[in-house]
Amino acid sequence: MDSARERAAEEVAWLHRIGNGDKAALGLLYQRFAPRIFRFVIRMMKDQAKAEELVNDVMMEVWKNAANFEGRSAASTWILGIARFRTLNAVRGKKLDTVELSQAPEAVDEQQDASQGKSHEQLRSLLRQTIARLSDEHREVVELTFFHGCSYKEVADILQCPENTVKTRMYHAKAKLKPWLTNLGLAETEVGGLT
Amino acid sequence: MSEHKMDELLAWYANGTLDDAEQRQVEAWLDNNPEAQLALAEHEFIQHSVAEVGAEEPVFNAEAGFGKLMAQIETEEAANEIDIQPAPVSLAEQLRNWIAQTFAWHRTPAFARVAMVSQLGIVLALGVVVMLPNEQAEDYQVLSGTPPAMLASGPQADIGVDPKTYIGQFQTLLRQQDAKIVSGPTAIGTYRIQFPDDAQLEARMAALKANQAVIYLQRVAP
Repeated sequence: MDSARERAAEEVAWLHRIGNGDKAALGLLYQRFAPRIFRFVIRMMKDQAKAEELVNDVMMEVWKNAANFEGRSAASTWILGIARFRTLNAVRGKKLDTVELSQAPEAVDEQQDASQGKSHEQLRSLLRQTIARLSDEHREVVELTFFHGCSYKEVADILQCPENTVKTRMYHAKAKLKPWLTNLGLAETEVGGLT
Repeated sequence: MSEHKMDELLAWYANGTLDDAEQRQVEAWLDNNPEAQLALAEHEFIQHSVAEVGAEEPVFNAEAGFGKLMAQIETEEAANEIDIQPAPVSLAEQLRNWIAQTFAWHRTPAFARVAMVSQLGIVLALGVVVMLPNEQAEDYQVLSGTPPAMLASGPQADIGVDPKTYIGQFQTLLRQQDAKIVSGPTAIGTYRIQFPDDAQLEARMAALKANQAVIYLQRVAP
């Protein structure tokens, strides 16, 4: 936790330096956040070139507005909020490359016995593909929580919705993944043995 | 806290972001609860799967991306420098800008602008009129004034007439002798008159004296 706090404090300090026009600080922030933003964006729009462009759009906005960052939220929350806003704008009017899990045709075959003869690495890859088929509302909660390590309060800040909505979305996302998790081989006997 | 609420918090227990009180509550709920432990294991499996960047996913090249960003920033900065270089501005342009900024002129309706300009014009015109020096007719002198500095040449005399004399009669009398008033009346009611510079001065003076309206006539020493 202390390490997380130190990182958060370091990121706020970078933002203050960026606000004063420090390009070296922008470089440090870029190294830490650009891959995360890319990951967040690419999983929503599936277009690598556009995702790379959006990463720089987000970082350009950070560069221009860092002086206005008031520190009322973590730097990561602020930056991911910008990333989400930019991404939604980019895909507005277009259907995101997602379908509800229940409507995914290829899911039927894999649900038969997804774990058979597969390594844990392959199982995790399968699960990522499954998560990619969730609705964007559910997927972004899962991504922000498990890839970006956000608390539910931070997720609520980024998504601009109540904390209870975040919890409910996570609950439903998990419920949609539950059949897959069961068939992927998670059983009571394996608790604690998968990671 | 209900079991459902605990279940909702499991994801954030797994990623380590719950506060101390929530964390303790979830740990108490997990204790001796195989179903809850399985649910936690599922969250942890999701977490590891999501956190891992799979071989099938594109990798972001941060170095190249940052290079592009810096190029973009430098381009914008160069463009801004060109934009902020002040162009030579004329005095009239500066005045227009000052008026526009000070009075928000561009937001004033057209009819109001016309009215304001008209009022300003009237005030300026009145100011000019007030400030102009008073013009004095050279041929006249105030009733109690001193003789004008600029006098025509010719013999002069002070004349007084009966107060009952009409001005028209007095003027006729003077015209008959080719005389004209150069100043007056004085405080005692006399005028200074001037005659043509010719040889008939005595005759003119005598003719005036002979008139009943003239009660006083005295030649002024040249």
